Amino acid sequence: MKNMKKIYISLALMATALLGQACTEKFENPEPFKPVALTPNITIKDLKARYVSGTPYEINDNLIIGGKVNSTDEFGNFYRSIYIQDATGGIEVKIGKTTLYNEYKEGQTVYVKARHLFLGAYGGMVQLGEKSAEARYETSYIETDLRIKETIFRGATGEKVVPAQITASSDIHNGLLGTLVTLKEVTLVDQNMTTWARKATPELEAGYGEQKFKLEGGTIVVVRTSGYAKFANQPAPPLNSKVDITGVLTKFNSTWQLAINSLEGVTVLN
Amino acid sequence: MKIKAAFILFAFLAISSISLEAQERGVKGKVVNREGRVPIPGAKITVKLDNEIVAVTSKEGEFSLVGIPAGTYNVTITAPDFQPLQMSVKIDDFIKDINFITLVSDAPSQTIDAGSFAEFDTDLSGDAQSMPVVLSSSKDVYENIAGYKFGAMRFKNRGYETGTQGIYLNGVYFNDALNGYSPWSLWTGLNEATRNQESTTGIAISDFGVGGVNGTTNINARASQMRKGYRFSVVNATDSYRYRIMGTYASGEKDNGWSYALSASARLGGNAWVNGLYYNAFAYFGSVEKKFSDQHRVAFTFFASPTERGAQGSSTQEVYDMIGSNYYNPNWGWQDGKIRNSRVRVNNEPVAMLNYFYKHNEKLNITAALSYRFGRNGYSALDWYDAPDPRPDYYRNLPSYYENDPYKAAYIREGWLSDWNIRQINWDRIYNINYNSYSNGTGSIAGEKRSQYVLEERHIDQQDINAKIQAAYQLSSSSKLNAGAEYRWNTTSHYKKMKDLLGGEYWIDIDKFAERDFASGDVIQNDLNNPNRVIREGDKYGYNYKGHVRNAKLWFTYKYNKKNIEAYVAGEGGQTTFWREGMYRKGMFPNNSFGNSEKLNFLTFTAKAGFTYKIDGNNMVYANAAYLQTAPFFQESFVSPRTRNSVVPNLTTEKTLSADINYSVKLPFLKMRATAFYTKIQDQTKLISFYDDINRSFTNFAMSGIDQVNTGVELGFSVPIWGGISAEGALSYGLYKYSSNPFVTQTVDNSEAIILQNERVYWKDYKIAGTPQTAINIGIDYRSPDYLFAGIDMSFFDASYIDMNPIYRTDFAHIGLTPDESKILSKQEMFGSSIVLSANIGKSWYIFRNYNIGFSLEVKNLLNTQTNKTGGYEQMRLKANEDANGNVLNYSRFDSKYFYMYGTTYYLNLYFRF
Repeated sequence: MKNMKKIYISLALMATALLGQACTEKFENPEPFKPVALTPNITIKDLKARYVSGTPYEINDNLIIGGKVNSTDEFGNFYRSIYIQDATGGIEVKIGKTTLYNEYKEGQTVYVKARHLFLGAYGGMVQLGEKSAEARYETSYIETDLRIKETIFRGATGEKVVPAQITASSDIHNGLLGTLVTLKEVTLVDQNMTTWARKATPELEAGYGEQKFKLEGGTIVVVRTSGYAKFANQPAPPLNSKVDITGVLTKFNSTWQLAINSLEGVTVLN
Repeated sequence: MKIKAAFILFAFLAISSISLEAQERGVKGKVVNREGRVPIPGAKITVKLDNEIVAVTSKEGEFSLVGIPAGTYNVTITAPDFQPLQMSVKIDDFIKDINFITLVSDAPSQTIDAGSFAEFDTDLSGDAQSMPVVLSSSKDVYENIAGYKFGAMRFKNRGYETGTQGIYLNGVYFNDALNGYSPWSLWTGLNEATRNQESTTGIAISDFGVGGVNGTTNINARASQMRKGYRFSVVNATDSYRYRIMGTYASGEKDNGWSYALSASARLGGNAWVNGLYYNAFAYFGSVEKKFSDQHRVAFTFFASPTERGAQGSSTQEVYDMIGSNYYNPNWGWQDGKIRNSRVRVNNEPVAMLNYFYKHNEKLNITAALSYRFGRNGYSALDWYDAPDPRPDYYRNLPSYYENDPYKAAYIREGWLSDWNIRQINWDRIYNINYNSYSNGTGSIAGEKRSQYVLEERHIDQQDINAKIQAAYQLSSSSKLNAGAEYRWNTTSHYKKMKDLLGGEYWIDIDKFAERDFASGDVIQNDLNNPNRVIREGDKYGYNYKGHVRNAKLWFTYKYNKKNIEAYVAGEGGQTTFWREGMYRKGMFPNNSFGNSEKLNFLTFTAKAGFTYKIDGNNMVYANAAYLQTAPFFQESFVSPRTRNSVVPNLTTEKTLSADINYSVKLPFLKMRATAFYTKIQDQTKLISFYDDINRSFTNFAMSGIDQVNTGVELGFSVPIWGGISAEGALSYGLYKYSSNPFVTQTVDNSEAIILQNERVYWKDYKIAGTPQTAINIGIDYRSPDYLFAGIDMSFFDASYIDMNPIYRTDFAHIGLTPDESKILSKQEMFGSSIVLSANIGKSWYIFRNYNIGFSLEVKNLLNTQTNKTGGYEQMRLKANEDANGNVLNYSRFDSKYFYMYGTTYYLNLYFRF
């Protein structure tokens, strides 16, 4: 009898040990993020207007802009920046992180508290970024986590931006820079390669593709695509194709350029 | 003088026992070692009457004292190398048989606790603080000190890898079949059940096999070998877990021949020095044994240590200095108001074992054993797809990355110091990215959330079967032959399991690196047989292959002793076959990934010899020599085992030549052992897999032709000073260095490209890392007759070196460097010396003779030094220095990562035994 008792005690000990396996700590899932709602006190157009060509402009007052995201880096053609636009215009916000689409969705409202950020230009396009440590660049990336937390605020997600329609040369103007546009029925007149761009190979570095489209009235818009785009090696439409093509309108000095988010923005008409 | 006195007493006793025998009153019994219940000859039993009468135990450990008047007496039992024991004996009208008297070895084994270090071996870049060099207490004066005290600094005996020590369980070789590592984690938390250990040191042979060059330990974990009775203990500690409870019962051998034993324990809680470390560990053990007759005995043993444990990551000095602590752990983040560790080890690997003992006659003993190890062994980590590296101390998240932009560097620093979500893993952000992830990439499911971040669990699940038969034959009174045959069958599954989708709903099993480089098509598939497979929690993904290892060996040992001479020879022949079996057809390697690889075969042999000359009863000189070949391990033999069947070039057996010479003294006023050793190891291979920043891919360094030479001296001594106080010390002074310039071949997991082929690594004369090459310990110990012990000791460690990145010592990495820059890149860091002070105290009491209650307290690092580096490694990255146009000018080194010894820790054990 005494032995039985000993066995029971020992078995109880073992059972306790086995039960213990079940008590792994559980963690509640974090709350979904709550969109921020701020009231912009300046339009994107007016903010951009503060920049005077040639000198970086430090924003010293408590300015807030707000706009919808119109670009995505999901397919690799945008890199370390987003474009946002409000009713007055669009601007590149140089958030120096990769895969920004995870947190800044197309159509999502994003606010920027711009105090102590810098306006600068690259090829004539005004960008919003951080103070640059290098003289050759007017701005640098907003890339430290703390700085992003202080300046960039994610608002509500929403419908994607409706692109402005550009059907003729007369429709295109500097006020559309940084916004999403659709070039309607444009003709591919020249290309530096038959794919949208060229991915890196062991022998060759990645290369930009340039597809030149002509608007009604003769204006040329260059669709410039990064060799890091996931669709880089996809064939571009053949020369003389007519297409509708949607992307963010930019300018490099005097050349109109368009950067597409993905091939979804391309419809070949003939 | 003392010896003479003992002799006179003995003579007196001999006379008196003859003359007084007629009265037939007295006491008799048998004195045995608690570890193994081996008889202790020559133990002295003293009974205090008006004068002392003394008996000395026979060869069988037996004694009897007769002619004592009835009454109650204090009996003292003493023996060299054992703690003295006092007991009260009541003598009536007959000779009282007190049966077994167990003595406890003098070694400080009661302070050894396997739980605090045992998991160390499973990960070399690991997270454990210390590990003892030798776990069992031994009679060797050096080993007793070095084995335990040097563990604080991750000392490796004679500079050897930990796996070189042979670990046997109930006589069966149990080192890991895949990498040779010591298997302590299998029975961690079962300290009582595995306490009975016997060990050999250095090159010496064991009773269970030929062994290697770094000693052997056999653990007698079966019912009849465990100390009879109940044992309960509670531990409170700060160096690994917070609490441990343990209960053990062993029946001892009953009259009907049965014996059984049970043990269970739980270890819970966190660590006082590093956040995110915790134990959620349990263990159970059961063993039954039946003695059928004097000839036959069978034992069955089953145990497991189901353990969940949060792991520590190392970081760079920049991070430690920024935080103001050398105990920063990048592995965790806040979630749900609690610390959540991303690196969690989960293992549950039960072992079942059957042992059979056959005693043919007094001369011939045969034993046979069969063991089976199975279960799960996982280690979690964050995995991500098209999202930034979530680890807080990723080099781009550190101030040093902005060395040319002080403004941003200051912001980085400020972020680290002010925001937990920057300093640690930001779980909140990770979940929210997954909540909102409706990707339309390859294989996506419309309307379901595709996780961008997940927790993977890397599994190494073994099935290991060992069969062994061994015969020991006493050829003559002076010679003994021992021979055995062993077979091992091991099949191990390596795969990743989806542990947690972290708020998302699925994952697609494609290779993100291949997708980046090739965009789409078959090449991006992890398993072409199941393209674009949707992965849910619990599914296998990523890679999945089996390692098959088959090993057979035959061995013998022959011992001879006569008068002043002992000698032995031993030999072993082995055959190892292993191959990889891919369970996935990798898109990049469709013809070289699925199914069996070629079978690799290796024949090995070992030869050993030793010679002892006893100058007199107290002085002896002995020497050993060994030559051994070992097959390369499975885990070092494939260039990219996760993806394909390609074998490492130049694969061959590893050769070790070793010799030592020893001098040992055992006198009442001095115990000492001095040793000099020399070991040369040739043709070692090494596989290092890591993420290569330059090639932006997982790559592998396959190194071959690594030679090393380990030479050094060991010294251990113990000197009784006065009244229970003794001084003891140990010294290990070695020079462990590479003696060749090996080759490295670098391959990439997601391409056939060979980045470096047979590139020379200039390692000759660089030092072996991972151990102090100089270690000294000096201590003072006190033991009172009434079971009080206390001690204080000081250790000194020096000449520890950093683990090297082979690339830093190749021609490739030095292109474009000035001689000074070259020197900086190739220099191997030596850590500073350190001094560690520790103390211990303990006491036990007997209540009604049968109940024993006691405590032991050990405090380590009394000076609370927090700057002692216990280890470190050079990161497997090169920093590319570019010109303004992004062209690489040359390369420089990345900051190394370090582990530090904890500040003051304590370990308090309360126990109750009956």
